[in-house]
Amino acid sequence: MKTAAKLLGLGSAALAALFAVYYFNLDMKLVRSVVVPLLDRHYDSVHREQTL
Amino acid sequence: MWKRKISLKEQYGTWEHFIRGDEPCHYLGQRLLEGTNFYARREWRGVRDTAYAFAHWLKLWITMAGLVLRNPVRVAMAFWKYRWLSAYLGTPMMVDRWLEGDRGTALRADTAAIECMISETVDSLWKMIRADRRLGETKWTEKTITFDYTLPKHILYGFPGYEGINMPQYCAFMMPLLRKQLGCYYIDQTISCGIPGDMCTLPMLETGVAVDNEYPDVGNIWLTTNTPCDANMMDNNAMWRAISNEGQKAVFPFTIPMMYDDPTTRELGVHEIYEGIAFMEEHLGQKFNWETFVQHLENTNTFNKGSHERWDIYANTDFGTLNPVVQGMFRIYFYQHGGNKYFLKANRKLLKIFEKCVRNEIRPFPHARHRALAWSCGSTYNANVILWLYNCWGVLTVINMDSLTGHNLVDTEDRDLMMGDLADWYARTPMRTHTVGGNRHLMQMWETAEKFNCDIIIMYDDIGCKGMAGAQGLLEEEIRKHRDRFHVIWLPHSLMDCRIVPSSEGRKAVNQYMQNILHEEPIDPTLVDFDDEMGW
Repeated sequence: MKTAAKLLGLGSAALAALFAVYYFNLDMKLVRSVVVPLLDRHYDSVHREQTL
Repeated sequence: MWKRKISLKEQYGTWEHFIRGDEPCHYLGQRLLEGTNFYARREWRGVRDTAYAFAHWLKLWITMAGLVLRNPVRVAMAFWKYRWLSAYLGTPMMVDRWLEGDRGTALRADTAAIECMISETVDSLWKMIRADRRLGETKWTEKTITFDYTLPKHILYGFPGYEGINMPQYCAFMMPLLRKQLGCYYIDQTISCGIPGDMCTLPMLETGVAVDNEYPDVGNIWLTTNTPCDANMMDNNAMWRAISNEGQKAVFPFTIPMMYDDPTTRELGVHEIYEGIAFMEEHLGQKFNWETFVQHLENTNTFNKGSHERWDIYANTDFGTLNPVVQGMFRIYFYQHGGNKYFLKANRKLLKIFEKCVRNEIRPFPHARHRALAWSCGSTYNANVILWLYNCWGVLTVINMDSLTGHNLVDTEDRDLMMGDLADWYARTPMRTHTVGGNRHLMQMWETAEKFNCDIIIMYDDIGCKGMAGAQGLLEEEIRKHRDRFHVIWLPHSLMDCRIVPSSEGRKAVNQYMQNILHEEPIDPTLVDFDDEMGW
């Protein structure tokens, strides 16, 4: 019974945290402010043989 | 720090409105971060619909994570190698834009269609990544066929065991939909090689990916095409070099007759399809399987019958349930893929939702004041402008030009008729029947607007399209003839390059018409004028 209650509590906390990420748009804010700039810096540093 | 401009009390008034999410005005513009189209807070749609949208968001991330989990190392290598792939990280944001203002049945229908498109995309991206020689040759490399994305993949279903990838769609076309600046980046790569910058930006974007050598190296053959227009033919040389590895792969130019409604061209079209099949039989070493091919066409017919039913509902009632942007994108996606498992599943779901709306007389878009037809070639970076039109001004686009392609039913009983119908399908590719394949599109515009009981026509003005620029005078003349029946609003854009005509310019043209000609008040004043230049 205790384990079930614990699992339920953990599940609810995880769901609440995920909802906070969703509602405050934290996923896209992270992608926009951190992930994409880092990836862009990498892409810009790669030397490309431009051909047409 | 983001702050509400409209207080909760002012927006919702009562607890009931807050819980149901049916307040008179959603004030969507106040949710955006300054200078962007990013939400500071995602939309509150009432308890039930917010929970539904949240579950859909979770499912979306799980689907996207599913791509990575199939082979984390290979997918990470692909992300490291291809700039265009990074755009897909913005998918949840694109979905937010496509669901703006949705409630109830509209939200359910739109998420069903979006789920279909995302599952299909994840599947195709994975098939492309697993077969890519640049990341290491695998057993899938030879089993994957690349083809131009304006060429529907129907005949590939006659080669079970092989997977068709409409490569430029994923590596180029989708970029401005997901992150508009990436469209500009690849266009600049093309211009840096000496291609003039005053032409259609779609082939320029595709060429830019080739210039950066960023097309995955997949399969041993490349099916190219002359559709939809002469601008797209410009990029065939660059695409040929990039995708066939300078001619190392066998290439079949799938030539589609320009005059789609000329009776003699149907025969030529059939001949071309048989040539294409013979080419593939020769290079794949496998006989064409008529059984799997016919089955696919029957599935495609099933989806199209569903589309016809939905269009009847749009045309004759206010119960059409897909919002304007999702309806258009869903049809474009379907045109390229045909009736595969994802589209059949979505078709079933959508029919149920549409039937429910008709049965219970549910109006999914209660703020609609006008019914509109969107004509000509729409923008990608500003694709959701037609949803903005509804949310801001109550102009509900019930049908658009791109939806009206690939909807003819194919006769699967008689092989000759079937191949003729298929040739017809190929010939009526996006834009071919409406903008570049003759002048009947002028008349079709009025006919379609009448059929769908529209009072407004949104006329997209892609300033880089030479085909439509040539017809501008004729169009203006026609518009004058029909001005007692329809309001026509020109909506300027530059297809793939958001710097030439920013999204705000398109909105400004509509605002001016709605305020100065129709003398109407906006439904959502926070959406009338906002700056989203730094957004995606």
